[in-house]
Amino acid sequence: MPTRDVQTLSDQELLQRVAQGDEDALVALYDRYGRLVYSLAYKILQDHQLAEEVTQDVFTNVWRAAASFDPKKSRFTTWLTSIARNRAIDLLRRRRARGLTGGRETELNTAITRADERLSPEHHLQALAVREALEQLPPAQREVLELAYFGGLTQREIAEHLGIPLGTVKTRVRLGMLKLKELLSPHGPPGNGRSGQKETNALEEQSKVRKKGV
Amino acid sequence: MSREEHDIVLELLPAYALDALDEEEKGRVERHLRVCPRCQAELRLLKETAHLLAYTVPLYDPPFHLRERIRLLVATGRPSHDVSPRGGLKGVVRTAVWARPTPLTALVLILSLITLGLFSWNIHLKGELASLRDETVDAHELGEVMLEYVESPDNYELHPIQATDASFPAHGIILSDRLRRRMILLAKGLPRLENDEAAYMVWIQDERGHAIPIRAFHCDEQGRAVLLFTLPKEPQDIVEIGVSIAQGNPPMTPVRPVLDGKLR
Ligand SMILES: [Zn+2]
Repeated sequence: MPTRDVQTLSDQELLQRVAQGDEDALVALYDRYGRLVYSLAYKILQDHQLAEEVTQDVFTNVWRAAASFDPKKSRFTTWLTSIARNRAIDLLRRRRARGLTGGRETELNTAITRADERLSPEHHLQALAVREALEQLPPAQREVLELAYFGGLTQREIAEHLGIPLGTVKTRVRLGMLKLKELLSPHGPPGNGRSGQKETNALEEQSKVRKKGV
Repeated sequence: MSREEHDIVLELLPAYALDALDEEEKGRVERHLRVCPRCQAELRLLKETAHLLAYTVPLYDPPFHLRERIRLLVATGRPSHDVSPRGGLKGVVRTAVWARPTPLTALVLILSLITLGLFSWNIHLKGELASLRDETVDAHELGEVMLEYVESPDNYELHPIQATDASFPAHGIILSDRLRRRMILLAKGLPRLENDEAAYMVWIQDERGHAIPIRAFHCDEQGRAVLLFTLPKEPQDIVEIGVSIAQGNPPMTPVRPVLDGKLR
C-alpha cells in the first residue's frame, strides 16, 4: 500500500481507504471532523455523555457505510453532519418524549475546553461564511431555522413554541432557507436552470415587500 | 407527475431539508421525490445549505479517549486482527480470584456507596491534568439513573468489583443498565496516585478479549469516585470491567491494575 501520509489525503481519498478497512484513514477523518460532530451533538443535546455516544455512533457508522457513500449524490461533510444531526435529534426527541430536557450548559461550560481558537483554516472560513450569511437573514427567519435544525422541532411545533400562526412559520422557513441557499452558493444551482433562480428571486421580492410593510 | 404536485412539493422542500415537516407532508414529498429529478437536485442543494448550520456551533474538544476507542471499536469489529493493548484486559488489569460476594453484601455495599454517592456525585473532582475534562459527575443524569433503578430494578444488573491487590482496601460496584449502553461505577478505597501517575482509567473487555478504554477519572481525597459512562458496546457483550492507573498525557498507558470485576 502506498505510504502517503493520511493527513495529506482529501476527504474522498480517506473515505475510499475507510471503505477498504483502513483504520488510520478513519482516525484521520475523526481528527478532521470529530470536534465538529461532537460539538454539533453537544449543541443539540446539551449533554456531554450523549454527545460522546453520538460521536462514537457517527464514526462507526461512517466505517460501516463508507463503501455506500456516493460523492455524486452528496458532499462528504453534508453526509457526515446529517448523520450526526439526525442521530442527535433522534435522541433528543426520545428524551423529550420521556419528559427529559437538556439545559445543563452553564454547568458544563466550565468543564469543557473551548476549542474555537484551534480551527482548521477551511473550517474557519466555512464557519465565517455561514455566520455572515445568517446575519443577513431577518432574525425571525434565523430563529425558525435554528429551532428546526438544532431543536428538532417541526414547523407546527415551532408555531406552538413561539405562539405564532403556522403559516407564518412556513413562510419564514421557506424564505430563510432559500435566502441562505442563495447566499452560500453564489453561482446558483448547477444545471438546475433558471426556473429555480427565478423562484428564489420572486420569493425574495415578496420578502422585501413584506419587510417594508412591517 | 402533475405540474401542480411539483409546485406544491417544491414549496415544501426547504422545510423537508430541515427535517421540519409533519409525517403526512413528509410522505407527500418523498412520494414525489421518487419521480422528480428536478426536486431531487433542488433538495440536494437545500440539504447542503441546512447542514452548513452545523458550522455555526461553538466548538468543544471531545474527550481524548474517544479517538482511541473509536479506533479500537472498528478494528475489533474485524476478526483475526488483534489490536488490543497487550492482548486484552489482563495486560492492564491483572485478574485476581475472589470469592463472589453474597447478594446481601452487595446490597450493603451499594447502599453505602449510594449514600456516599449522594454526597459526592456533585463534587467537581479536581485533577492535576488540564486535558482531563471528564470530571464533572452529572448529578441530573446520575440521579435519573438511580431513580430508574429504584423504580425498575429488573432493568439493571449489579456487579461487585474487587481490588486486584490486597495491599489496598479498594472495592466497588457496577450498576449496568440493561436497556441503554451506560453504567455507573461506584468505588472507594482507591490507592493514591504516585508521582508520574496521571489518572485512573476504566477499561472493558469484550468477548474476543479486546480491551477498550472507556474513560479516565480522578477520585476525591478519600479515594472515592462515582462515575457514569456510556458504553461503546451493548452491555451483554462485555465480559469484564477493570480500573487501572495510567500514565501519560492523555493518560492512556496503563501502569498498574486497581479494580477488576467479571460481568459474565
Ligand atoms: Zn418536482
